[in-house]
Amino acid sequence: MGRVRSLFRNLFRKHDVERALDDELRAHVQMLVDEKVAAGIDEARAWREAHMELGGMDQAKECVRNARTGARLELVLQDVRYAFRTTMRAPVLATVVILTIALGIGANTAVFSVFNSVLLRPLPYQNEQQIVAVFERRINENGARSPLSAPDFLDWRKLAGSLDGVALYDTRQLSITNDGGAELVPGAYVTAGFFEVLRVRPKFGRTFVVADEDPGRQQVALVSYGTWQRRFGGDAAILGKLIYVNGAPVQVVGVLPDGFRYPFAADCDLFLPIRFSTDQRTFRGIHAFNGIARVRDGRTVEQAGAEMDVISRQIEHQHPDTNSGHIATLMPLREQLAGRLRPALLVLLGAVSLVILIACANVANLLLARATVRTREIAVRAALGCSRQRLIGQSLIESAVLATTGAVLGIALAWWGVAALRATFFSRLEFFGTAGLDTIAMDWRVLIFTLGWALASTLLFGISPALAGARIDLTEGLRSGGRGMTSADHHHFRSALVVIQVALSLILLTGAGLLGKSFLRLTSVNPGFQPEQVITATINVPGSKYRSTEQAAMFYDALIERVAALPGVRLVGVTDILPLTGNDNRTGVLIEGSVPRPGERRRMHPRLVSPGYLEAMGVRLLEGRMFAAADGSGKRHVAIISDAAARQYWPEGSPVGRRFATTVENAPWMEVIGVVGAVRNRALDQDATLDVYLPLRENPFRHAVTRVTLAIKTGNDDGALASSIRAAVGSIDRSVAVSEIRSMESHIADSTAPKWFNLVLLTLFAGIAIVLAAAGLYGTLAYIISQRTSEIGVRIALGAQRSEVLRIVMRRGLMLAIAGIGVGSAASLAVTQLMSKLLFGVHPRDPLIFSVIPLLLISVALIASYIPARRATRLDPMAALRGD
Amino acid sequence: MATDLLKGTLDLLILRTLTLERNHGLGIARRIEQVTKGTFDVKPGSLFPALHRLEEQGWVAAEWGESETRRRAKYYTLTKTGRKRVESETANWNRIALAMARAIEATS
Repeated sequence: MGRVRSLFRNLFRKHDVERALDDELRAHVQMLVDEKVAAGIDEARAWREAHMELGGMDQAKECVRNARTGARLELVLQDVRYAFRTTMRAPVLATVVILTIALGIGANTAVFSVFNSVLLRPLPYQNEQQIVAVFERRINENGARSPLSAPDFLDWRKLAGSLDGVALYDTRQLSITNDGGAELVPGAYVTAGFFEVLRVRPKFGRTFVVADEDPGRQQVALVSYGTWQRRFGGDAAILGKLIYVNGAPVQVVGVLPDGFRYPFAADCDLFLPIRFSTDQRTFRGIHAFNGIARVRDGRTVEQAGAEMDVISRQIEHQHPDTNSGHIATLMPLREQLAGRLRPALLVLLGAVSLVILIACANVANLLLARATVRTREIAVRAALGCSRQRLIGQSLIESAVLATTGAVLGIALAWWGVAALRATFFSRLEFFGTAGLDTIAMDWRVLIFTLGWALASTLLFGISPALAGARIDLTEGLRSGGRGMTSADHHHFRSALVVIQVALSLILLTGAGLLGKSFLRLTSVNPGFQPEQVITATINVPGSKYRSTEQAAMFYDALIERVAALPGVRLVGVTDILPLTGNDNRTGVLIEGSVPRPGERRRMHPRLVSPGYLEAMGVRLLEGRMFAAADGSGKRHVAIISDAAARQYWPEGSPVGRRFATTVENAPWMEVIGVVGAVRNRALDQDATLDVYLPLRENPFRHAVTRVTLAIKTGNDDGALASSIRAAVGSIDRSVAVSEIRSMESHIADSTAPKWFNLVLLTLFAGIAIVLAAAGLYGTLAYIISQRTSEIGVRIALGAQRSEVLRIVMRRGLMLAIAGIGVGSAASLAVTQLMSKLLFGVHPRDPLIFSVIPLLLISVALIASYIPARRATRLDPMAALRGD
Repeated sequence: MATDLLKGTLDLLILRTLTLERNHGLGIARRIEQVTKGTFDVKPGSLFPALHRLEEQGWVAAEWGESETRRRAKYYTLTKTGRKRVESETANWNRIALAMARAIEATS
């Protein structure tokens, strides 16, 4: 009979085992009796003596039970059952503790996991810490960042020894034409060496070489693994196949490996080599590209950066007119990708930490409260002979039951939280430019850390009653209410906990309030146009077919005519740059009759528009007139400027009739014919750009405008418009791709989505914090009342009014709350300074918020105090006086 | 009169008692009493836990049978592993006893 078999038998066949023991002992007694009777003792006495010798049937059985294998395990199981029973007796407290733990674990893990995935996890490239983003800093413009120009890049490619490769990239949508029509897919133009910088080898074929950048040769392309599978069916003969991109034939020369992620977009199906136009190649002033590079193994980013500094100054020296003050700057790629998210995530981190602290304080509070209430029970059990070890063990198990349930729930919550965050928010990663990070997963280390920490604190505070209880004077504990159990120390500790909770909640609420006000300010900003009932659609014409500005403009004119005839369309126009979509163009300008101040760089932001665009978008006309159909063709070159530009460059008098020219070579003088309201192009919380609107045919750039956005003011919210638009486009030219038909309002919402996300999360946390703090306050007050029941009973019996009792209790609660608010306000004043980067139009010490929030908390505290206070007034004085 | 017996000592006593023949609980107690001339008076509170522990460990086997007085009784027998255990424990005990004797002699 092995130990293991005995264990099983003892646990699961208890009934049989017990019966056998009973039989054996009875048999033993019987034989004893026989012995005695045989020795002459009478039967009755024999029985008595036999039982006495046995030492009592039950005691004997107990001794055997204790010696059995699995006896200790059984004790534990017994304690667990007991723990469940006691937990069930106080369901509210148990639920609150469990939920608090679950919330702490879940929220903490979810947020930290996301934080870790996005900010801390290395990029999926070999030696990724050596990959840097390359951009230019303009010393003369306060270190403003700028994209790169081709000639500079070509020089760097030659000269930079500490870089093991530098490449440019330009993320764009490309249109692939097949029998069904043209379709826009996410793609990118990259220079040779791009994939080598990332240390990515193609699955088949080759990557780009410098020769591919030569415009005279057959255009080539690389496809992603997914595209190869989906679009080409995993065709083994993909290499050498011709596909039509942007209307021109392109030969596939390679397939990228599965699992490769383009760092700058959520997806990238197609890569083409960058072919610099003659302008781009010769004019150092045209900055159109972004760059990455790999720092040579063995060199640090700082060393490489220093070398780039030197090279930049060399180039500056050689080309002072275009490059003065331009310094090439390197930044680790990971930082560039995640950098925009950093402030938001830091706020999150702070919020989560505060919530955790509050949660812990709550758990501690509640468990201590429970401890003091059960002093008597523990005293009784100790008096009945329960060993100290067993008492502590039981307490431990009770806490463990709570902690484990909370932990299981917490893990589930964490799982769900990560999934929810990933789905609702991080699926639109483009907002943050942190593409390629969709593998956000729950971080096990964080989970284990949080779990361990939560369990530890629960167990610690859970066994304190047993630890203390085992030491107390038993008679003291058995007497009325067990008041004497160092409750004074506990009392202060718990009061301090409540004050801390209130303070922390205040900080969170203040933060949420500030963000809320900031968001309201943001959304009430006048964008400069009227987005209501405006539908937009992106139109992409193949550059190979529409080579000249005139060809493209003719297409757009025809399209506008067709679309204007559709039912429900009131106004329509096109533009090359839609506000709030992250696009921009910039050009230097010369103002007739005015000389720039020393160091002043005159710039405007050109927007090519058709007549009707400004009207469709509801941009207000302030002076002069809007474009007519005749503008742009013919000898007169006209333009409309925004009033921001007007005030900047023509501060006196009306700019209408005055002239200016772009700094592009051979640019004509343009006459201002109208002034319109400024439009916030970049973001609602950034200043309006100095816009100049030009007719489509006045395109100052050499290349035709192949991509425009159609803006349509509709008379009603008509969903069927989308298909009509596609039909209209297709009826003119089937090789033109239409994509992203959506409302202007959705563009605006997208631009404010990050702030919205922050606000929602912070408010959520603040809400949780308030609930927890209120629960803590309520619990503390309830406990105080229960401790002072007899005192309250006496007061009532002696004639105190119920209202007076109410006042006494509530005053206590209010004092705690006010103390918390005081501490919290002081802390908030310091903490909110850290948030100032996230605020718009709101001062970090906004007086309105700082006065409203404390009032809010006081009202919550009043309610939380009122409930237990009211119960105190309902006390039956006789029952109270009788003593628990 | 019961004296505090070390668990192991009681186990050894019981096992040695059973080397000769099988016996029931009462019988084992009486035999130990007899053989040690009354020094060890094993109470049921110690005996039965020890017996059950020995059974769980597989050194004795139990079965119900009929006693001398024609009563039902649970009889314990040494198993094969039990016999080996007796030998090793006896050797152990002798070693300890010898060591103790020497120690006492050296320090008296």
